[in-house]
Amino acid sequence: MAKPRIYTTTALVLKYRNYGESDRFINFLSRDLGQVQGFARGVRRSTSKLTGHLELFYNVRVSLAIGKNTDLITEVEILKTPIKINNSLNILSCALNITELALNLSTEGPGNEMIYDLLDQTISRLNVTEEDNAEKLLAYYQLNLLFISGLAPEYKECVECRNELTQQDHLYSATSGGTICPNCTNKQTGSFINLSVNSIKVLKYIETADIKSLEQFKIPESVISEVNEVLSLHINHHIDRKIRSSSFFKGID
Amino acid sequence: MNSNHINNGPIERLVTELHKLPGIGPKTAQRLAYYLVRVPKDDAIKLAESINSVKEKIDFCSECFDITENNPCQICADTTRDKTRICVVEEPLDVRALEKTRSYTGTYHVLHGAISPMNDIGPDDLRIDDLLKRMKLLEVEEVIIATNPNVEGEATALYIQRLLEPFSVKITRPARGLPVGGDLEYADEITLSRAMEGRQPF
Repeated sequence: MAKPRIYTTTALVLKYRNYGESDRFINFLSRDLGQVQGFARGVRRSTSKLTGHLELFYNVRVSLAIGKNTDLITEVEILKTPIKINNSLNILSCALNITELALNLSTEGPGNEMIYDLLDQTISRLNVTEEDNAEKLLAYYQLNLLFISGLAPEYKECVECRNELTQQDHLYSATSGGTICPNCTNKQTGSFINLSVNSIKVLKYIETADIKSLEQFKIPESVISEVNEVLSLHINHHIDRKIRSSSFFKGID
Repeated sequence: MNSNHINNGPIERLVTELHKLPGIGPKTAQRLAYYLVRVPKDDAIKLAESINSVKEKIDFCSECFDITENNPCQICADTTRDKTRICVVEEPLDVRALEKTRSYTGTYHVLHGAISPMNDIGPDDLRIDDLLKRMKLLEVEEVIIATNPNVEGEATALYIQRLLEPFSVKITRPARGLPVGGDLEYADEITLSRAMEGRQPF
């Protein structure tokens, strides 16, 4: 069925790009329509009725009029304002990372409901959680996004010999798509990074855990950093580009 | 008609150059080009000369990195300005906007952008290191981080705040509230709640 001339959808703001004197292009992730781009005329003027309604991470009900090239944003109603994200550099960095991932792994059109729900849930938790939990939530989001997209790494058995992994440290290879046991390491070429036995346990836990119980779960900082590094490498390999937000604020501490 | 004549002619070249300006589409560029053809020659030459002199004479101030004709700029060279206060802004236009208020008497530091991972602008692309150098040289009491009140501005402000922690200096952000001339009903929830929090006795 053809879209009506003006349509309304519930969406998350993923990205914006300034255009002209006071306009902006906004990229949304809609639950029913997938990625949508809208043009917000005059939104950067302080007196515009759209000002302050289309910030990153906001969950909004947005009305768009079909335009020749890009649809024009006519009305916006804010549903959720995760404003506390902006109070911490670590949380903000993680939030930027997950929205960039959503931008890269979601598509236009229907079929993005699970990615939308995951993003909405993770942003809502980032808004209320402690700063120390940000990395855990990032790992949760990255792994679940990979499962939804059918790109999850293999960390239960060796990708070469298919034997179940033993209780020891292993290597991870992005080109092979998962973990390689010590016996198969010599047969492989390419780059590997270390994947400790604790990181494998954390990956298995995140796979089944719900987001709130994960926040209560104590994970050493080095382990969660290693998990996130492996997941970032895996994603970068599959989308064939680097997620820029992930490395932006590293090294500030 | 020879099509090369149209594509490479002076009008077409002018249209191409005008089209490179921000916010100028092909039709507007064409309209401006044909307007310039009609204006008196003196006016057109004045425009060309002013563009040329901007490129020849304008430079960045070595202290605040604002755009200036003289180095240091008028504000940095002014001895009556309060040098113990630095207002950090994203763009030179923000300095102009703040100066119009005539309520700020300190100095500025222009970052020339904000941290925006999605657009590949990182801390190294901004004048943040120069701000830290200034902090070491001057006896600064207060840094006002007046970046834009959006996610990129907040990220930049948080980043700078973290870097300024060792200097034990007072760090402030401008207040947020309702714009003059705007309707209350159209204000977003965050602005409204901040405006209510920061209300003043009547």
